[in-house]
Amino acid sequence: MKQLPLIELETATATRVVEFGRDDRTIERGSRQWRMLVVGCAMLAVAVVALLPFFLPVIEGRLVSRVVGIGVALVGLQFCVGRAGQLSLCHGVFVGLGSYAMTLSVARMGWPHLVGLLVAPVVGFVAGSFVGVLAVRIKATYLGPVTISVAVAFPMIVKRFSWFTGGSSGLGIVGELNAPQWFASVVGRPHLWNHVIIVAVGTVAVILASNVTRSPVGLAVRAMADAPLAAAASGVNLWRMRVVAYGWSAAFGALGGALLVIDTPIVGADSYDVFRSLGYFAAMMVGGVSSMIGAAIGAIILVAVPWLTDTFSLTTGPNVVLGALLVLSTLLAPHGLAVGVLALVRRRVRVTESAD
Amino acid sequence: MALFIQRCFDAVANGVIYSTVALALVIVFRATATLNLAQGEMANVAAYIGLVLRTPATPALAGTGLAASIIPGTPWPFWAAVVAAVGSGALLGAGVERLIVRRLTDAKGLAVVSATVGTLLLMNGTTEAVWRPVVRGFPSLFSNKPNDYLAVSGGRLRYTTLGTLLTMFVVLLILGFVLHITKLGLAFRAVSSDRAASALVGIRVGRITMLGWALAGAIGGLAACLVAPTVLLEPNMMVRVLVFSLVAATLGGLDSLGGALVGGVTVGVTQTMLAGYVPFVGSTLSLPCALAVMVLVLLVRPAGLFGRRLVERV
Repeated sequence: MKQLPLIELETATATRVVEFGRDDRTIERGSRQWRMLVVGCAMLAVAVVALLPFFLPVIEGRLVSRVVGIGVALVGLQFCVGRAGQLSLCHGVFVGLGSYAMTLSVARMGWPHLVGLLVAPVVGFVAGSFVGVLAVRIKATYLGPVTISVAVAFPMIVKRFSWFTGGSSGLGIVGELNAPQWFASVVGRPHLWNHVIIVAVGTVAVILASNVTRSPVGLAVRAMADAPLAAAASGVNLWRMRVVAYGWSAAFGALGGALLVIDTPIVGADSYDVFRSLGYFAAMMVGGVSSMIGAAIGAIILVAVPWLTDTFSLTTGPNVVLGALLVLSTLLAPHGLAVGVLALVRRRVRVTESAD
Repeated sequence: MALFIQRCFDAVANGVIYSTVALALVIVFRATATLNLAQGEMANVAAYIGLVLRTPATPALAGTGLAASIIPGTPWPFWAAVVAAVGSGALLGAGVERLIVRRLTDAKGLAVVSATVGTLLLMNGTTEAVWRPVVRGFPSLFSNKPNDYLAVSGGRLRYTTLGTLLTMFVVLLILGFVLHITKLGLAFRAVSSDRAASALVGIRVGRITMLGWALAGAIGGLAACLVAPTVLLEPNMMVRVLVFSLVAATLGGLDSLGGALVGGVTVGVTQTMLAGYVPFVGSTLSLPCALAVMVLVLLVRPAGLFGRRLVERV
C-alpha cells in the first residue's frame, strides 16, 4: 500500500468525515438540488407575502405592501453600495422621483397606471446616471457630501416647482387601480388587488435584479468594486460601470417608489426629506448589503419601526430606533443581519462550492 | 449700492458660520480621514444643553428641572452656559470617537460612514424626543438691539456679525497656534499624515485622535451657539447648516483649514447673492445652486481648491 504524504492523508480523512457525517445535508452550489432549494424558498416567500394581507386587517395588510415596495428600492440600493462599492446617501431621492413619475403620469397626464410603472424606472435610470456621471470624476471621499446634498436639495426643488408637483400640500391620484370583476366577487375585498399587483411587479423586479447582478454588467461592476485597477486592466470600462451602477440602482429605487404610490396614492414634498434617504441607507446596512435577505430584513425594519413607535405612541420618532440599530450593527454585526440568518441556515444545510 | 453692501455683510455672516462648522469637519477628517456626518447634530445637542443651563426650571423645556436639582447655581449666566455648551460638544465628540469609531473593525470606508449616519439619526431622534419639535429662541452672544450696528456706506454691519467674525478669527488663531507651536499640535499633524509611523515613534495615536474629535466637537458647539439666535433652535436646525458646511469643506479640499474658511465664505456669498439677485432661485433653490457650484469646482479640481492630491502607489 502506498504511503500518503501526511497533509494529503489529513485532508482525505477530514473530507471523508464530513462526507460520512453530513452526507444527506451536503449540497453543491449550482447543482440541481441547490437550485431547487433556493427557488423553493423564494417561491414560498413570495406566496407568504402575497397571501398574508388576505388574513390580516386592512391597515396591517397594507404594511405588507409597503414592505414589498421598500424591498424593491433596497435591492436597488444594494446594487450600488454592496456590488459597486459606491456610496449613495440619496436613495430617497430616486424613490421619490419614482413616486412622482408615477403620480404625475396618472394624475397630470392621465396615462394608465401601467405606463406609470414603466416611466418610473426610466426616470430613475436617467437621474441615477446623472449622479453616476458626477461620481466618475469625483473622488470616493467626496461622494458622501455630494449625495447627501442631493438628498437635502430634492424637496426644495420639488417645492420650487409646486405648480406642477403639488409641493408641500401634496398631489394625489384620484382614479384608483380598479380590480377586475372576478377578483372582487371571489375575494370580496377589491382593494387587495393593489397588493396583488405590487407583489407581481415586485417579484418580477427582484428576479430582474438578480439577473442584472449575475449578468456581465453585474460581474464587471463587482470587479470594479473589488479591484478597480485589475478590472480596468482586464477590459472593464470603469467610467461606464460607475454610471451604470448608479443608473440601475436608481431604476429599482424608482420602481419601488412607484409601487409605494400604488399602495398610498399621494405624494408630498416633505416626506422625501434627507431623513428618508438616510433611513434607506441605515436599513440596508442593518440588513446587509450582499444578499436579497438583507434587503428583506431592511424593508421589514423600515416599515415595522415607525409602525411600532406609532402603535405604542412613543414620543420618539423612528429616527432614534433606526440610528441605534445602525450604530449597534456597525459594532456588533458589521456585515449585516442577513449573514447571521444565512449562518443559521448553513448549520442545517452544508453548501459546498462546485468543483470547477 | 447700499443693498449690495448689505448683501455682502449678510453673505459674510452666513459664510462665517459655514466656515466654522467646515473647520470642525476638516479637523475630524485630518484626525481619522473620514467625514463626521453627525457633526451638526452633536453641535445641536450642545446648544440645547447650553439653553437648558441658562433657563430657570420650567416644564416647557425638558431637563431644566433636573439641572436645577443637580447642578448648583442654575440658571447660569449666559456666557457660562455657552462655555458649558462648548465643553459638552467636546465631550460628545470625544465620546463618539472613543465608544463608536475606534471600535470599528473596518476603520475605513463604509463602516465609518454608517457609524456617523447612525449617530446622526440617533442624536436627531433623541433631541426631538427630549426637547420636542418646537422652535425656541436663543439669546445672542453679542449685543443685538435694533440700533446695534455700524453704518458702512448705507449697509448695516450688525455687532453680531462682527462678533461672529471676530470669534471665528480667534478660533483660527488659537487653532493655528496649537497646531504649529505646541507639541500636541505636532503630534496631531504627525498622526494626520501617517498613523502607523506616528505610533512607531511613540505618539499615542488613539488619544490624539480622540483629542481631535473633542476639538471638532467644541468648535461645532460654538458654531451652533452662534447660529442659533438667527435661525432659532429646533431639532433639525443643524441639518441645513451641516449640508452647506459639507459643501464648504469639500470646496476647500477637506484637509485644509484655510480651505474651510474660503469654502465657507464662497458658499455664503453664492447663497446670498443668488437668492438676492436671481428671482428664479430665491431662497428655496439656494442649496441646489451651492451644490451645483461645488460639483463644478470638483469637476475641474477633483481634490477641491486647496486639497492635497494623493498619489497612490500600486
